[in-house]
Amino acid sequence: MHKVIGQKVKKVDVIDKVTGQAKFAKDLSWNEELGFSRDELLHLKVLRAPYPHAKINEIDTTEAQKLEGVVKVITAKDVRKLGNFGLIFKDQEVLIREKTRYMGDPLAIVAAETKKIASQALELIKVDYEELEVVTSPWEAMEDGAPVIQEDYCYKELFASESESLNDRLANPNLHSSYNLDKGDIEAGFAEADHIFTNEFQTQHVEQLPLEPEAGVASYDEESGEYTLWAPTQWLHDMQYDIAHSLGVAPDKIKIIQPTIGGAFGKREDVSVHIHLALMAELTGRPVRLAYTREESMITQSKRHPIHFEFKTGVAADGRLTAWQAEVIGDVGAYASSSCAVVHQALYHCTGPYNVPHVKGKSYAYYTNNTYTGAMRGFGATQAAFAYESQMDIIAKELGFDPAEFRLKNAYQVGSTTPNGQKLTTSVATQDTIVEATKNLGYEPGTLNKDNDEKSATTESATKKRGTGIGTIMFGNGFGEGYPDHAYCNLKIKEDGRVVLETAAADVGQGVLTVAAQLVAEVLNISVDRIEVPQATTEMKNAGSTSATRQTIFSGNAAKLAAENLLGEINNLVFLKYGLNFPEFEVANGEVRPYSDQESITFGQLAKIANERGEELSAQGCYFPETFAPDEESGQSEFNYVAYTFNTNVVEVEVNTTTGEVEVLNVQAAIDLGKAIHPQNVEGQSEGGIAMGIGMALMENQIIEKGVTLNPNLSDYRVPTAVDMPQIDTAMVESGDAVGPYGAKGIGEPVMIPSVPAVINAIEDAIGVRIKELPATPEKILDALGKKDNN
Amino acid sequence: MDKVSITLTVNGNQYSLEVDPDLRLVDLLREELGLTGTKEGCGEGECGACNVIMNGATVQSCMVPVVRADGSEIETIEGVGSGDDLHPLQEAFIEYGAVQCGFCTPGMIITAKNFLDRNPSPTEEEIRQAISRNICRCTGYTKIVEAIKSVADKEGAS
Repeated sequence: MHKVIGQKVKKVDVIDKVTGQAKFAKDLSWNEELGFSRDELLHLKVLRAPYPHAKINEIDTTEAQKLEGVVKVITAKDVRKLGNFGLIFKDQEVLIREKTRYMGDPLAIVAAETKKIASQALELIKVDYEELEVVTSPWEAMEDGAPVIQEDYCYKELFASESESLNDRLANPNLHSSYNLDKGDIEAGFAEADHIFTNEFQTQHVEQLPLEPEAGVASYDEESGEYTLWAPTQWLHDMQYDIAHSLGVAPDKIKIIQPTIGGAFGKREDVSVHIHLALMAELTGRPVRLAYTREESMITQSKRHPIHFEFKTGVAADGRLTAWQAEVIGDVGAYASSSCAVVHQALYHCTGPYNVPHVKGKSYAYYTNNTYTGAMRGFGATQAAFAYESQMDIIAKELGFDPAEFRLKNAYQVGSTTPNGQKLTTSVATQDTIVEATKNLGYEPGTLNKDNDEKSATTESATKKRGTGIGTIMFGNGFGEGYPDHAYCNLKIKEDGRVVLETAAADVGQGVLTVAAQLVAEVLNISVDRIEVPQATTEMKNAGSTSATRQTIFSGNAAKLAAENLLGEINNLVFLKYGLNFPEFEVANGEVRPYSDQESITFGQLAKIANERGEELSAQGCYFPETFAPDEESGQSEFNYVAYTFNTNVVEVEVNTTTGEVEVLNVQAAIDLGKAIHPQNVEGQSEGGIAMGIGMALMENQIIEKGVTLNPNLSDYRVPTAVDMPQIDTAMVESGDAVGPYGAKGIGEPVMIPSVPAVINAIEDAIGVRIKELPATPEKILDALGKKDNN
Repeated sequence: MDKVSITLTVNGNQYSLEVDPDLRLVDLLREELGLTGTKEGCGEGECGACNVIMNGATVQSCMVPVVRADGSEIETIEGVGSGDDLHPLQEAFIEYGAVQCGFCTPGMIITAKNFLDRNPSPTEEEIRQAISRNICRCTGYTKIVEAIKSVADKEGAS
């Protein structure tokens, strides 16, 4: 029985958040602790591309520079050559030199005494440009003679010479990357099949929409050459590296301090304000602030990849899957960001958590002049799940299987192999999630009958139809694929007895800091209240990215190990003082209590003893698991991800057949998460994830036409509000056998994935129309109903 | 542009300021008075992160020109409660796990406070309607609604 693990504890940062005291990036210019006064601060504004694909002949900033209150205006020509940046490939320019590739491209930066003057100065900058043909989709990008978007892109870094992928690229100038999957013998698989199903699916550009728009503050110390930034990022050390590389300085000259972060969902992985801030702090010699408008954020920063799937699935008469072939095509937009990983992650998840002995697939990611795409919750696996769970449902219905039974028949168990050929030896409770979620909605697998008269009787009227749908998904935790993936955590006890937990892990609202504190509290047998968690900075050791659903496993394990090592240090000090060894004393509530006659001694007193010896009472934990890169030709890897999380959502909807509107009534979630460290937090993540899933399924669409974002604002880009939300219950399937602390694995992304296909499947169950292109708007539903009635 | 004189009361304190007439109330609060608890999420009155109570009404402060705030009484999140003296809504948000990233939280609490002050015994549906113009991207609203309901139920019972 754990004392703190599995309990609802007050989150470490919650009081400041409910009182409005928590400082987000844009709040910081008032904070005198930063070392400068508000009056010294300059306000920055960025001039963005006038046209999505254009040659820039000249940028004339003379009028802007003359405006009173303007301190500096720069374009690429006015500064030293700056290195490109980018998450995986560095193909993005800090300031555009020759041509724009999308509407968010930066042409000039203005620094002025007020935000208003900076905005006015932007209007005075004249740009002479020549429009180029705009590439609007992967299909246009792959055409012979299509305009080339990234001419200088060096693809050879990525693939071995003579490889199929390199040859693909050389033949297609707009192809960013391609990946392969080849498991078993696909021809044999299809030969074994009694039925073959081929379907296409398409997802849309989705905007992550964290509620806090991008912002930051920076200062530069000329004497030391050090830059200090207060700007949120999902990965401190990666951002530090990119800034340093662009500016041409050593990474240790860049210090980033995390403010409180207002959500991320993948959007804060890429550089936004960071390099511009550092550069202008250096060039003006004054502290600077940059804050994006919501419109700027929606046009400029990354989106979820629209991905097209073509699946060909072979099924035996008894319902066993025998073969799965996939073609996956993603829209990279103007710059690489994390595209090569996102689109191939979609490929690597293409069958879903179902046993398929023969799998063959190929993924392609094409440059276009749309906003560049990057990470968004689920990272390709979300889009894949919409496609494979739709495919599974289509097959089940065609063959007359109950959708839950069909999934159970094929679902992973211990011993199953993934599309990458990884054998799952532990922590596979997929089937339990299906059983649990269906039970909680109130039906047993095998009893879902679509022509049930009883069900029709419960619908409100002739025009409102109810339906039920299932989504069962898998998600590989961690970067996997042999990429460096690790985390450190440091602990220190102060003389006042408090425990300082130093982790560079970004808490974007998901609660990693609280989870880390709980783990430390559990091991040290103390209350979470005794723990202090300072703001993360680059001066701490690398905890890796808050992404890939990795922090509970990676930073969690590092925190737990740090606490165990700290116990070792405590034990050693007690031995030096009393000659006692573990377990001759109890460690509880910040005290060491010998079982013999000696007096108790507090953590603070022990820290004092250490300090008097010229030492600290501290310890470090780190976690460095190894994964293996998939083979380039076959995508096979002995150990691709450290863990897979499985999640089933069963959804009940009501469709208004007159208006096409869909109301989601009930979602029952069951997550195979190993161990729930903070169950209330898990529920909160599941509920938020379901909201995001409903958004993607029904309403969210960042519409980009001819490279122009038509709806970069919240009145035209709809996200779910409180009245759009169903009843939600989240069950936790805890087998306790995953690689994370106390048997846990991650949930941050898996929680948003299954509701997307479950809603679409429920709509099909309700009204017999299948939406294969997201989102399922009222217009699409009415259109599909109309077509169905005409047939 | 000539500055204008604005006098207003914020959280019980009176302020007299000379400001640009095209300033918005959210800028006055955050930039002039340093009350950064009120957030800006969209600048177009769509997300509720900037909500404050002005003369008893919940308003989007990003949509209020400062001249309209002249002579008004404003309540922001800083006036709702503090670390040692939390408002029941703040305590409920903590208790029910209604806070994740925290960016929507000030606006959400302001909206809920004004709503409950006027509607002490709402149904769940009424609560959802009341906060339907406060966007939260993290929580899915479930625990926010539970937190607000718990305060309503407690106060209703007393």
